[in-house]
Amino acid sequence: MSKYLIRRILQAIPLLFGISLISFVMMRIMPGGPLAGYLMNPKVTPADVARLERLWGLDQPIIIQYWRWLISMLRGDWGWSYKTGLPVLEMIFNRLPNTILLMSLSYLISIIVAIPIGIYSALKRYSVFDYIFTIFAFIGVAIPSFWFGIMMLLLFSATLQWLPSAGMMTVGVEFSLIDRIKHLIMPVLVLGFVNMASWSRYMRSSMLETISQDFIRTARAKGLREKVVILKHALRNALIPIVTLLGLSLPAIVGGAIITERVFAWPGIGGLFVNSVYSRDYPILMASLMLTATAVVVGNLLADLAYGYLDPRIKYE
Amino acid sequence: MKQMSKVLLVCLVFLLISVAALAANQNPEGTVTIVGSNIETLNPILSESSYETTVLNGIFSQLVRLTDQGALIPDLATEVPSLANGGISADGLVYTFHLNPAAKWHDGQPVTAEDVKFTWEMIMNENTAVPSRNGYDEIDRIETPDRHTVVMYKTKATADWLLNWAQTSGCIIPKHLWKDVDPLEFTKGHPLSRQPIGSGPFKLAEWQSASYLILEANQEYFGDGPYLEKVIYKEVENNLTQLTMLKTGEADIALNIEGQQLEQAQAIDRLDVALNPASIYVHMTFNLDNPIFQDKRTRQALSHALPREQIVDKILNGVGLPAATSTAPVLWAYDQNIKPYSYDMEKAAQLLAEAGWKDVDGDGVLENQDGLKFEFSIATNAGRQVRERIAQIAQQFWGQLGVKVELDFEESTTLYGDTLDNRKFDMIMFGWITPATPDEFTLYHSSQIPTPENGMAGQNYAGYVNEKVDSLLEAGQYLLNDKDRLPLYQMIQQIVYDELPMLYVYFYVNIDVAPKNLLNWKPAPFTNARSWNMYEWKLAN
Repeated sequence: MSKYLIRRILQAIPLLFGISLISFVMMRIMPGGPLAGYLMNPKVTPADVARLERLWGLDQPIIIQYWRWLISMLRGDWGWSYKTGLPVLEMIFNRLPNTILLMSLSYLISIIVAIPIGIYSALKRYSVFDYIFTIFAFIGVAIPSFWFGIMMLLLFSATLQWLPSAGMMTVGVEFSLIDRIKHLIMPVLVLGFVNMASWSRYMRSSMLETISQDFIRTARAKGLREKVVILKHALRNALIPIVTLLGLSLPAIVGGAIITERVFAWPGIGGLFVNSVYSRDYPILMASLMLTATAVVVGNLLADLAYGYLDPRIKYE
Repeated sequence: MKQMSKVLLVCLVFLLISVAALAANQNPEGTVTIVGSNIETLNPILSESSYETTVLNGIFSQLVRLTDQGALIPDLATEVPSLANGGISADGLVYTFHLNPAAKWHDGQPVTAEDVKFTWEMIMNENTAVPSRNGYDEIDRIETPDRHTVVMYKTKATADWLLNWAQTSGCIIPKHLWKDVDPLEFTKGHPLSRQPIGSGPFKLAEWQSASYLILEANQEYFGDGPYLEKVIYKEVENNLTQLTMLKTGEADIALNIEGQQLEQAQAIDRLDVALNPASIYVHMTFNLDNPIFQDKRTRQALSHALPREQIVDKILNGVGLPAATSTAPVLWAYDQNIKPYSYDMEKAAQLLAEAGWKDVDGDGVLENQDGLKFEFSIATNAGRQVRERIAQIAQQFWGQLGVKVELDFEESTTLYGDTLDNRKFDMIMFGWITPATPDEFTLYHSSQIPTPENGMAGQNYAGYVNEKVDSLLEAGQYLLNDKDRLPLYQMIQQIVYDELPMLYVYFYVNIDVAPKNLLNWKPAPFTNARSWNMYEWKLAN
């Protein structure tokens, strides 16, 4: 097992290295760049642009720029943002906790709601309950989160005035849990609803497939109580596809939800990444790509490890 | 006796109450909350966004300030230098400023002439990432004969030069704090750029990055005001969220309200919503190197076939002004007699025929005598719906004339960084921000066509060459008196209106939203800074 783990981690190193090289080079060969915006400013002369290029090291050949970036990143220095002049690490770690808080809460809530719904819908297939949730699930999948977020704002902030419409805290007020929860409710619900809808569908179909299998019939034939059959025998097997989904969602937990964060002005990492794409803030972009790439690798690894736990027949050597 | 003391007591109470009321009047009170896009730095000489300007106007002082009327008024300087008061020498080369001796930094230190000189030195320093030194590079040296006198010696006399000191980068920064910082460390992220010390009417009390900033009244402010106790700036990018915040009262002033939200904003009782013409315009620039655009009648035809009124009404929800030329209607030099090209398809067809365009081979596309087909592409910003839709309208209307138009929507960094910069377009549409001067040297002078030979200098992307315009532009730059300059600039407007190096589409109109009880709310058209006079903002009871 530990051998397997070490092998997987070692495999990840050249992979991440390759991703960093490819994304670095691709970013630079795109036309335009962080200084392109200055062309729009009649006051910025070409000499000014050349001076800024030199200051930021953009006048060097790409491969040298990459080498410099790689060396300093391995030393733990991820560079400075062109836009804010702050260290990239500081900017990311200022916002990462906010994103993780938002995303993990919404995922947690989706799982807690989606799994029981999925199981129940599978067991009571074609019941009224199943139909109702099927409709809700389709609405959840079909609704654009942008629109849903705006509707929530209109209802809960503008009309009912129950919840604050933006940010993660009230200005100038000491931190309070109640205040934070009030700010969290709408973004968590918007994000959670979409995931809940699709995950409950996966859970339902996975459960349906599992309970039609022979070992479930055997379990029932042994005279096990239905509860044990479902929760002990069927559920563990049915969870495998869900775990895959969760593993693949890990990058989203650290990558943030761009649209939802924007609508609710949540100071998370999604907004930071989007803005850095627009302004070609290379140091932030590279950091975000590496962060998400690492999350993909780790998420897959965790999912693989979880299979082994859920299904003892799956073994890694 | 008892009666007497009672009377006295009542008098005393009245006296105390009136004193208290008087004191309260002098005390800044009330809070105004602004909502706008993210703030990246509060270092004024590195700042690049109008949102930052909104906040910096409160924290910093400038030598002179630009009003909503486009006039300069004293700020740190006790008067605006002019030829009349001797602040500008007769040859236009020496500018003298007298600083207000009462001005103090937020840490209590006095503001001196050394600070002004230091600010200029930092702007000119090779190692600071100042985006533009335009204007400041005309200073040869600055002398400080005494603590409160600054004398600037210029290399050439130029009109409207003082405007440079009224822009955000003209905010004076404190030497005593910055002087020991290595210029390479003089960054947007330096602690002094995050927690700046200025000399303006408000102090920065708190900045939660990507969330909000709190400005508090500077009781020691040397000028009039401030009258507000606090100004809060909330960082929210989405304009619909900003609108919701106006509705709930979480914000009083929103910086990003657009045409589609106008009616909803107007429906909020406590707010005053005003439409104020701005100085930004959208244009479609021809690449005049392209043979199909050579004849000015061709360009005039396309201008007549562009339904500007309809564009403003249908696409901009009425929030825009059809443009006649590149001179902003809010500018003093604007020629009222020039009206935008009328929408007239017949005239357009006639002009095209005169220029020799005819559909010879019957494929629905015009050809000229040289056999060139009238087809070209319009490049503009992908994802900017307004511009995409204007391009589609142009395609449709010009198509009716037999002009085949292709649409080329590009991501902004590509559009500006490659297509525009290397002049790889037939026609390109984007927006220009015009400053408070009628001088458009970089836009129309023939020396300003970017080529590898001139180091890609200038913004004459059309490749426009007109000797008359060249000489008028040159003359205008060296006249120091606006009265003398006016006829030159009106003549330039007439020429470019006739020759059309670009199609002028529309001028922006700002939607300025503020509470009805906010007094002295005078949003300015030029700098897009609605807060230039934050010091005199006041809440009525």
